[in-house]
Amino acid sequence: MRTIHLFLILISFVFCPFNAFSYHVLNDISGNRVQFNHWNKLPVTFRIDGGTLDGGDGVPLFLDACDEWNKIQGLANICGSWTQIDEDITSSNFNDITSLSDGIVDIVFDETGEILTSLGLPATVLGVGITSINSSGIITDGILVLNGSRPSSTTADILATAVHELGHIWGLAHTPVGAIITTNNSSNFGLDPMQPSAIPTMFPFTNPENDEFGRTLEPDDIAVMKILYPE
Amino acid sequence: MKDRKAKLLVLNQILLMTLMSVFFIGCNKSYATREIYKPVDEMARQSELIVLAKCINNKTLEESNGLLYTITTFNVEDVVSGELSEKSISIKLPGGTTSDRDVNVPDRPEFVDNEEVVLFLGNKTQEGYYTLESLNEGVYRIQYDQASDTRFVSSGVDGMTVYNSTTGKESGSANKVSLEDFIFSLKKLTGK
Repeated sequence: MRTIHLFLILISFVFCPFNAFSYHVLNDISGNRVQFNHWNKLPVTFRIDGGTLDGGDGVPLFLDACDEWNKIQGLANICGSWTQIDEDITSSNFNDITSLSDGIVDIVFDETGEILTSLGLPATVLGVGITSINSSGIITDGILVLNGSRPSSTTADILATAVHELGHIWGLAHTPVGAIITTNNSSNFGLDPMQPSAIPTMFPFTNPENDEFGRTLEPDDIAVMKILYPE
Repeated sequence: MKDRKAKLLVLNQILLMTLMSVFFIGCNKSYATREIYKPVDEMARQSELIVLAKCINNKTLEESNGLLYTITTFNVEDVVSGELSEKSISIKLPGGTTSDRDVNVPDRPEFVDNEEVVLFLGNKTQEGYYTLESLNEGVYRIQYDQASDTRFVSSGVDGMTVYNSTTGKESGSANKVSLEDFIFSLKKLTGK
């Protein structure tokens, strides 16, 4: 029996080479079924904060982030229309303006970082993509907040953060690919270090070499989108 | 024949262990939403308060915009660093679950009743809740090893020198750190 067991494992190595991807998807476990959370109604529509980001208009930055996801070949059209409201969303009107029940994703530019703090998040958070998911595992709404309190730089790039947080809005979770070089330089578990430019955008931390690498999607990010939203 | 079987058995075990190692390398670190990574020594120095605490209650709250929050209350068992007069503290984080929906904040730390954790905390909010110094990285969960009757911290201690709490000397390996050594080392690091 053990021989057969070993034989089957070896055969799987030969005929089913390791998948290079390690993406994670937001999911629910119901009994023995894993249900991937995803949007049913596409494309997703947006309501954008009337305030500014990083000293300028945040809309072009959001559109660039959207374009990065829309560039994926063979994918359903996911990033839809948007409108910009007149009001600047702040910590004091956040609950009045944003909504998790109208099916429109709110894009919030948090100029001072006060909104993220008022949500109870640490100052280290550069952005957050919140989704509301019904009991059938369908994403029905979302709020994306970008922290504009620190100037965008190669240490923490705001466009890379916007692309990353949109990934959460689509239903993507964090990938562990990239953890070896950023969190454990002393012991790499015998694995070769990863090229910083190849770290997926859905890695949870900023890129240690140049955070602008996060602006473009990597195969890991693209593969998961093709699973969730095939054309 | 027996030798061959024994060899196959060893090979089988090695293979399974390799597969399990690959799995655990991918899973042993908890992740927060997009952040700048902080090694534990830096996080410890920047924290207002570090406590060993036991979760006693979770409560979900809904705001007018439909955003759910989870308020978790802990009994404080030891103040590792900082000043605290209260015997219990609470943290409030966005995200939570009701009977008909789930509001997901990627990798928001979740706690179960009676779970013991080491919390790295930042400032207290106006509402009276503590914030985590770093989202999921600011929580060290504790695991109990029955064989050695020892409690261990479940996450890595990247960036921190670990000392043996009995001898006071530097520990050789930081792969699996006992709770006692972790707390002793944190106190040494933060000057308590």
